[in-house]
Amino acid sequence: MCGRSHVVLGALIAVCFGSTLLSGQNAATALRTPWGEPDLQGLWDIKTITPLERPLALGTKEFYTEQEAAERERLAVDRATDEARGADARADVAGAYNDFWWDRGTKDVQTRRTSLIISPPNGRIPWRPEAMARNAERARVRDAMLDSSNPISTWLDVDTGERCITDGIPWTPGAYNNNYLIVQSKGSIAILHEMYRELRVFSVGDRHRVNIPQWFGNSSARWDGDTLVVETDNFADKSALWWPAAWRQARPAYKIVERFTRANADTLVYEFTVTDPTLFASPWTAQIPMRRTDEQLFEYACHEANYAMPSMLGHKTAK
Amino acid sequence: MGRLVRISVVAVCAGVVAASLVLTVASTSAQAPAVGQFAPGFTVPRTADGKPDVNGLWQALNSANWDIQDHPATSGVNPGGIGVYGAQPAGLGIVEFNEIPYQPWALARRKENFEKRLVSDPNDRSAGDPEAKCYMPGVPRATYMPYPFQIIQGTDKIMIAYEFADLARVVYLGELGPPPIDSWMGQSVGRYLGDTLEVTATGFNDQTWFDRAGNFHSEQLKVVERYTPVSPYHLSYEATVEDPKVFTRPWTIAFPLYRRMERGARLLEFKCVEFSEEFLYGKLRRPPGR
Repeated sequence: MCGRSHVVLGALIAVCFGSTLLSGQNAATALRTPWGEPDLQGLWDIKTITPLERPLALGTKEFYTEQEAAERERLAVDRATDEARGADARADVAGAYNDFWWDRGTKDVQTRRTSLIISPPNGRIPWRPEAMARNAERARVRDAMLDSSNPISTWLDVDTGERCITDGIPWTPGAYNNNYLIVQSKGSIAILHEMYRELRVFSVGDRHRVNIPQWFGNSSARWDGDTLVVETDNFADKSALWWPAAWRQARPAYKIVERFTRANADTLVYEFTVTDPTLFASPWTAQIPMRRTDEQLFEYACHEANYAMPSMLGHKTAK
Repeated sequence: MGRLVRISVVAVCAGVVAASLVLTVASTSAQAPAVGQFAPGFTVPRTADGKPDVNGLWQALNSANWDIQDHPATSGVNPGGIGVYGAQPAGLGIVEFNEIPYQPWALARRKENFEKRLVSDPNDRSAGDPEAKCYMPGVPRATYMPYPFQIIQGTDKIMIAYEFADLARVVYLGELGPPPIDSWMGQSVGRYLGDTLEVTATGFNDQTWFDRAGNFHSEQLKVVERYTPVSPYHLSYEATVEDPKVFTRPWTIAFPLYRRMERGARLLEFKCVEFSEEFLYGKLRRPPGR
């Protein structure tokens, strides 16, 4: 029942998030901008320990019990310490960061789902078999390259995230900088993702179509009741590059629909549906509640400080 | 000539000289346009919460990004390689009185910046014009680069979204403590004064330039900007620059901002990192072969 979230969202909010999150009336209707639109503004935190895909071992188990969720969260708190070490010395040195730097959060989503993916029912990305085979081959090629004596010979051997460009859209919880600032004016919505300082600006209700392929495609945004719906296609073909996650590399066959709904004062529900018949047997959907935070967004000057790139290309920096 | 006539002639000549001096100063002084200058009778529209409405897609129409002072056309960069693609056009300056009040030591540094503007050295990131490397251009340069930007006026924050490098500045409306850390685009706090949005930006690093001519600042930079609608299609933009480490006094730039009017006008993507990598890392490319 909590799966079909684009049906009567108001009722689902009450059931899925619990009445403690709502005041007497439907709190969402009170959250309007001065010009009367749903107010999505704020700084929203997407981090959660709930994985995108349900672990295979859980089969069809859709939700954790309260006790299971509490135990998971306790373990997450234990792990998120800067005293944590890798399993052995080699693992410890090979890890990208000391645990101090990760900011993955310590909480499951409020619904206690076992995955962020809500459709298909097994909570996993429905890869086509030939796409899975291609992924495996690409991974094999990449491992061989990185294990070789000349792992990185140009910046194109490095993934789009390490080049400080993007990990792609739609958005999912990441290693750190899991914050999204939304600023809204009449007819326009801007979302600034702290990671990579990714900026997306939507002109709501603008039907003029452009044909300019982009890393983030071409988007059309409109209101559907209290939900902002953003449809994006016409992604540039960046599939020859290395991406941190193959499922969201920019490519022409890729289409996404994102939905943003202010469930209550402290929760923005972010839902996305991904379609690509060349990779997936069916469209699939994930839902992530974002929590309001009062922190201040930091500037993400990744490219300006990409000292790793010259190091990876095998040259020492003088300083 | 009789004495009286001579004095009169001297007086008239002095008057003419004085008048022409005044005219000379006025003609090279960049000035902000005034409300009603382009549209007599114009009243500044208000947002739903009663603030001067500066929402929209705006762009400067000048060549200040090459040089913020008056400048002639020059061969620019790499004429032998790319011909007139790299040439600098002539342009009126945007600096009041066309004078940047550098401290004496700073002029040598500006000259050095200009001569080394297309240096790219992975071991010295502060060498060369940050624009060429797709680094963030800082404030106020982002305002007069030849690309559009969009102002989205929210209720407690304003986002200024620049097409160059897909940049955003967040303007906090209200109190904010000192910047917790230096940054390329600074920390901006805004307030409304009558018909004007005033933004004060501090907390800059010393890495950005004001233009391709090498004009620069230190980490003590403070910029106060004023955005004022002066017609349905223009904003007046003024920015006062203060930096006691580099300049002898504050100085001001001013120019109009033009509303982008074409149907479907919007910010497009300019993720320039991938266009900067050959420039930044080309010398470090290793031969392939595993």
